[in-house]
Amino acid sequence: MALIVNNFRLEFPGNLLFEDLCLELPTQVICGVESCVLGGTTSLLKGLAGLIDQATGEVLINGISTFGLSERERSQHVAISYEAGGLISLFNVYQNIILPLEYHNRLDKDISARVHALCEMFALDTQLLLSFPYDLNDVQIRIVNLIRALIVRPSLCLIDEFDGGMHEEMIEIAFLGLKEFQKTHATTIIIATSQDVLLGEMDCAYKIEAHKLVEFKF
Amino acid sequence: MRESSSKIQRRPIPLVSTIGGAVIQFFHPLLHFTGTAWVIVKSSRLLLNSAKRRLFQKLFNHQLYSTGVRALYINVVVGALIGVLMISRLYDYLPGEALENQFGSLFVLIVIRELGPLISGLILIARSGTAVTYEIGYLQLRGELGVLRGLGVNPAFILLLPVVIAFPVSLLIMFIYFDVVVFLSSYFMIWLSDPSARFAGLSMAVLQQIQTSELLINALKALLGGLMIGLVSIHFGLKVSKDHLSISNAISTSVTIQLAVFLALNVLLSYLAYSR
Repeated sequence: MALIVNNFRLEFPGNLLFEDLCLELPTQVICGVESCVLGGTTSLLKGLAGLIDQATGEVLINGISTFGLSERERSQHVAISYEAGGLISLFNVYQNIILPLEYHNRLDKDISARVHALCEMFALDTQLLLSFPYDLNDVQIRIVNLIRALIVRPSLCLIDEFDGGMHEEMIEIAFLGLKEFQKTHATTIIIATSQDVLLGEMDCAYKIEAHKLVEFKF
Repeated sequence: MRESSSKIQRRPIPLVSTIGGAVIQFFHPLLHFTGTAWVIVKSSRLLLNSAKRRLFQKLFNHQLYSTGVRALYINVVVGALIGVLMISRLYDYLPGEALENQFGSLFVLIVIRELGPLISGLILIARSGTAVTYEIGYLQLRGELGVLRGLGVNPAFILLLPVVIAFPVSLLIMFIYFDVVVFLSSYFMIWLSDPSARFAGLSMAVLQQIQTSELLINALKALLGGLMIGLVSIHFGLKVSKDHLSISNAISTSVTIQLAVFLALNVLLSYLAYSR
């Protein structure tokens, strides 16, 4: 199994979100988690990524715990695509996309070609690469987040509210883009979405119930 | 009876907690400030990595350009006005020839020792200290520092360290702009009243008066002043919360503290170095 979650627990003062949560996912699957307002999906994704100190239990990606990853390990193994914001206002879109690679000295000679290929895959106008985050609309920001998450070729990619504000055609393009990406990369993807139709397209789907993940029934 | 005795026993506790609370309240900002400075200093170890150093160089150059180079125009304007004002006022007290003879020592005493560092620092606070507090506050408000951590990128290294190093360098550059512009405008004023005044002669008069101690003290004022302005700007930027007024509050408090500390630092260093 690529992703193994054991006894995951996340509690904020006076608010228990997850307890004894277990999940196992093989590599190259797309797993959906049904999201609802204040349902805790964003916290779940951040917790699995090892970004919330209060999270306990065990989250292993290819045998490596996401809790306490070094900066370099984090940039190689886990990527998160945010629902809102998520880009650094001081940098343009291209700089935002390559930042994790540039910081960890992982820039290839063909980085520009890779960025352009991902832009094409997710129908992002390459002229936007020189724009700043404030020039983009919500959907474009989400797509740039997604491209930045995938450019590092992570083992685990966590995508928050993948489809928010997108029209159906765009959702289809983006979803096909993810499937295309997975053909050549061993990445396990977890997507939080509120759309039942989209959950039906995924390899497996779950919903949050009684602080755990239970199989989503269509 | 038992209740009243327990009340008596509890009395010292509020007193202790009040004193403890006051002590914590007094030292908390200082501890927070020290913590911020430590995190930034700690991130500087990443400069040993050549790839990260290249990225840092790019960000540092950008910061130095906005803080030091782009401050040229305002330094020129302020320096030119001060040169004109200084010479016109000095002419009221010293006859033309006496002023030319005393120009070197007066220029070092008034401009190089005091006005240069002071006015350049005030310009740095007004132009860049406020901008950095706003930028960091905005990033904090939008959770972008957390985003960087999620990307495995050290936010202190790429956003804060360039500021902390660029500010002292910028301040030193601004001292030089300021002194040169005040000298040129002073010379222009002297030349207007006495066209026989020689540029080379006045330049030499100033250069002969500059001693190593002036250069060292000015370098120290730039280093400590720039560091302090940068750190205070960042510290208050990082204290911004989700409240929409917190950025303006942070800028206001940050500028007040920067002004007070920078003026005190200048007075203290001048007093220690130049008083006999």
